[in-house]
Amino acid sequence: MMRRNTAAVSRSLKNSSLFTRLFLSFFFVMLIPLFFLAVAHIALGNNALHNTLVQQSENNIDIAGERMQHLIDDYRHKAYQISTDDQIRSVVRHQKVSGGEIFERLFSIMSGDTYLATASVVSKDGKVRLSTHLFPEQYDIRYHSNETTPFFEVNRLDEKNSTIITSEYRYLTQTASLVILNILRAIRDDQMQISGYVALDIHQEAFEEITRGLGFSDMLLIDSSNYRATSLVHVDKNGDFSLFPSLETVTFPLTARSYFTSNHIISLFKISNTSLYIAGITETSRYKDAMSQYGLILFAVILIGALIALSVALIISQFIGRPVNRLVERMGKVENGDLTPYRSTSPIKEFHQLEHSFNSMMKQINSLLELTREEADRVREAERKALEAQMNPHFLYNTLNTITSLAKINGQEQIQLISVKLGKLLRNAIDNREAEVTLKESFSLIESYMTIQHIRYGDKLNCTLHLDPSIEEMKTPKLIIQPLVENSIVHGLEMKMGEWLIEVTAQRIGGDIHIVVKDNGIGFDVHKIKPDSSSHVGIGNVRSRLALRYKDRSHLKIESEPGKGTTVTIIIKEQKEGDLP
Amino acid sequence: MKYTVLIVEDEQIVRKELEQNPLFGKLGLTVICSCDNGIDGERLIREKGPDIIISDIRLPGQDGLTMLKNTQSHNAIILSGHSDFEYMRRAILIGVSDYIKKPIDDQELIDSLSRLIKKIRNEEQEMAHLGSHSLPSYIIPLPSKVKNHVIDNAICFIEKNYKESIGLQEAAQHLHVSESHLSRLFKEITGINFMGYLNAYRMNKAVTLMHDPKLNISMVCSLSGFPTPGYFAKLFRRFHSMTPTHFRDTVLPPS
Repeated sequence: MMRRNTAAVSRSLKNSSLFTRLFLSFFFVMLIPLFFLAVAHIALGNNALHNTLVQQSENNIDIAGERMQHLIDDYRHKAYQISTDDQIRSVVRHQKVSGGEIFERLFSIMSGDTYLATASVVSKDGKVRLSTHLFPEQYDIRYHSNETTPFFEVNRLDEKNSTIITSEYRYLTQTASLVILNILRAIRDDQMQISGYVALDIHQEAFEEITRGLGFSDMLLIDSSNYRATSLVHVDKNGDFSLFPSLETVTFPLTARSYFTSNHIISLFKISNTSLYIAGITETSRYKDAMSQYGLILFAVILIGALIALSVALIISQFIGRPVNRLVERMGKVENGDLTPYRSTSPIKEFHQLEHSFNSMMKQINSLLELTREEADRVREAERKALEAQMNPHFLYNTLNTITSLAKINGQEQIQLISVKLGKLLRNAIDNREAEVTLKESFSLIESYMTIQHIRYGDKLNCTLHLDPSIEEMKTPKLIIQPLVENSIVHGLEMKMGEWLIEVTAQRIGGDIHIVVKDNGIGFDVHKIKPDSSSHVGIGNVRSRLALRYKDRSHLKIESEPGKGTTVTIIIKEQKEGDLP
Repeated sequence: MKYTVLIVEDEQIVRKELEQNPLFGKLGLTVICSCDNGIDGERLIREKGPDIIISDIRLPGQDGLTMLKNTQSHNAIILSGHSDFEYMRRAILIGVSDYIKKPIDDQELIDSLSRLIKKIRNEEQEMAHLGSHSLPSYIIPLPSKVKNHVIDNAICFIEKNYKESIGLQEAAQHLHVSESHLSRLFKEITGINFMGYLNAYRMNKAVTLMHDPKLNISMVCSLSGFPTPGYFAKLFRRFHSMTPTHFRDTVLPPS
């Protein structure tokens, strides 16, 4: 299908005008840069955007990660301070310390951060419970079995590394802040035995500083130990990875800094000494929308460019094509015989030269024609003079007339007759300028001819003429019957002994005209007739003049039998309506 | 009535043969005279007023066509070895009746003469018919307003130019119509041939002029536009069945 189309286009191009070709060429040439521009923008534009977004995402997650690291380290240190504080250690060992003093200690360690974090201390048996806020119920060891307390994991840690950082224990504080991260640590006595626990719960507000101004659509805090994640921006989003479709391509441990889904770029940062990761999510659909809008603008620009290319191509093609068209037009006129030169106007040097050459060619042709015409005039003049030099037919007729008169005066009737008839024959042959004569005139000519022949040959020549009165006025080319009669006498009868008969008939049969010349001469074998014999010059001449006049409406038929005679028939068919006259 | 024939032919043998040719007698024609040049021919036409002229084209003095034109002779047969188109055209223009090519075929000449005799007879009948209504004033009644634009103009042309040597050709040229059209239309509208009308009009003028005793016949003839006194006399006879002299002597009262 495609190939057929291409073939059709190339076929139609083969016959197209110069203007069309120029126009298409310029148009396509002008379209090529536009086309490449479009391709480059589509291919490179998307790629570059993606890379930029990834780069930006990774840079930002580094910043966020640093901040997070700093935050966690800070609170981890505070937890450490609390767990190693002597007074707090005493309290959890049930050594009495004044209440005011111990809270003062706690707040001083938290150094005013208590609206961002809740610090709680609980003794191993749960009898001592301190908190900067209302003591969180989940840390109340009295109501939990050993395995279900948040501190179960802490118990299993060794002495040196005794801090657990987890996001497992979320709850709402009395000030309606959501707790997102818990730092849990054991308090040990001098024998390094666990005497109580510290729980430092970091509020959502603490993370606002981390997420601020980074341009992520969402940031997640991921705990790789239990495959749970918490959104730091939309804090109510919290749970396993199924909640976060953007995380579906992420694997732990990390193999890359960034992962991609069809609509997201997600960059991750590992918080050292924890199983935590912070992740920044960039929604790419927004950029893709912008990109497609950009594509639309680009398309419009290309379209306008194409239109400009179209009009420029049109103008240039016309500019180049016009002189050629003019030249072609002129040549067409020359073909039709108009040879007047024209003024060259093309500003293009080559075309100007071409027009100039064409004009000088025209001038040459004109002067040649002029020469030919003069030559023809001279020839005609020479012919006229030659004709004048010939014997004047007027003299001939007058002499014949004198002979006629003399014959009459002297009673020579045959001389009178023969000279009158000869005069008529000569007039018909020489003087008559009409190409067509009526059948009546043709028959009168034959009558004259036969009269002379009769005088020459005497009574043995018997001639019958019959002309249908209804076709007397019909016109035929002149001298189509007389040559046939002459042929009959010269080739058929002159060699024959006995009576000579010639019958000339013209009649209407149906709508057709039949002219028959029949003799009883020696005849001939129709099949042995030589095409170039002298008798055929006459017949051939008649035949070709009939064909010229009547096309295929006429027919000349020769029938002959040796010893019996010859019949020549001319049939002129009736003219049908619509035939040319 | 026997019509008269004038033969103008420069070749002696041919002229003699024509003069002796019995066909004229058979057709009821009389060859009254013959000559061998155009000048004598013109003189004889004026003097004798033949009904029919048979003339060669090329003649010493002046050619046959000029001779016929000068004498306004319409009933003429031209003989010529020429079948030149230019001659034919001129012959038709001056109103020659027929044209016979040499060598002369007797039968052709008989046919041509018969046609001419018939034509002259018709003209005579028309003239006699017109003349018979003219009594007692001898003024032939002619229609002058026929309510046909072309014919009225033609009559007007006659009235203004009858003194000149005019004919159908001049009138047709003046009116920008073809001669055959004018001729046909004139006969159709007035019932009279153009030439008949012209001659009758001239005749009326001549009759009026003849009342003036100071004018002789040939003056009357030329003042009323007739080409020759012989022709005038002949026409007068045809219209009014008497000679102009006889008319003056007997019909007009002496003043």
